[in-house]
Amino acid sequence: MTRDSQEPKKINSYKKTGLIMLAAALFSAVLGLLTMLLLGGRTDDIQTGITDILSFIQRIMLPALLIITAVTIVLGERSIRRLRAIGEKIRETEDEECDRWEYEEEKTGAVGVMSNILSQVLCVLILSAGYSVKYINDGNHKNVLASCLVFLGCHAYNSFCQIRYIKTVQAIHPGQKGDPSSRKFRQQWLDSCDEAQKELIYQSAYKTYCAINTWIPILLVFTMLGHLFFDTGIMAIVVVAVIWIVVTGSYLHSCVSMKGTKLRE
Amino acid sequence: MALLNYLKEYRSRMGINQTELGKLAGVSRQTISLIERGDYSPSVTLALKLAKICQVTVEDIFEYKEDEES
Repeated sequence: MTRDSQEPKKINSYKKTGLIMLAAALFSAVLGLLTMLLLGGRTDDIQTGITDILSFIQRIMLPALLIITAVTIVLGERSIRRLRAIGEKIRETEDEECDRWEYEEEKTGAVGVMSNILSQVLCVLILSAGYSVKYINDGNHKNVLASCLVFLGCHAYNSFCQIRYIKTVQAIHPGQKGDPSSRKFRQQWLDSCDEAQKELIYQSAYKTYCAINTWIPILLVFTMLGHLFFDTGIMAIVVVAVIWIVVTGSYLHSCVSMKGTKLRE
Repeated sequence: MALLNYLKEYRSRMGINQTELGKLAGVSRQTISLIERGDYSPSVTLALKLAKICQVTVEDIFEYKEDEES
């Protein structure tokens, strides 16, 4: 093999980025034009539709929150029970078989945490529909109050479920330390991890950072289009922009301070 | 993977399982498993610790093999 053929093909980064930006601009223009053509003359209809959906959610707010809470409790209990059963298997088995059970533990934990988060997000979204002074002043304060109580109950269950999940994992792996009620829990947990576990956490954290940086510009475009055509307000754009700044700022601050610490050592 | 290792063989010779070796080295069983499978390259400190536990040198456990293509 010759030296030339081994060298990777040179890529003009400026040209490639320029082309990507041009393609994105064209795509945005087409998307904007299509939205204008399809929905431009029907913004009133769409706003009426959104209002109808909101009033529907307001009507079903309490039963919906009750159903979500019930499903959350069933899923949470099932997840914890399964995790405990897997813990028993982990204690009983060795080496390769134990690897398989630990993979199952990771999967069960991930499903449990995800259902926990989904439940919280759904509860917030549903409660937000009725969480307005206008709706409360229209004589719906009892419905909102009852919904708030169910929401708080669901939130409390989720919080205690997370603590139980952490304590179950700590019972399976006694090396994992940290008090889940402490504000320093994440740091305590990280400190108790060994080098391979830390690498896994760091890799996952970096992938999360990359995913956020992919999704935030997309969300910004959607929130801007929403504001452009449906007058959804600037708040959504501000929130997404603030999240972007906070995430990037935290990442850069961490990089700089870590390098600074290493220099001072 | 350029880094080969014979940790499993040495562990078997010692007659201990991954959990016990992990305890001796101060790491989790998962880490020992990852190293044995070649999915994780340990730090120099851990490699030295493992070699000391197995009473061999690091080179006995870990072997760097050049890729044929490079």
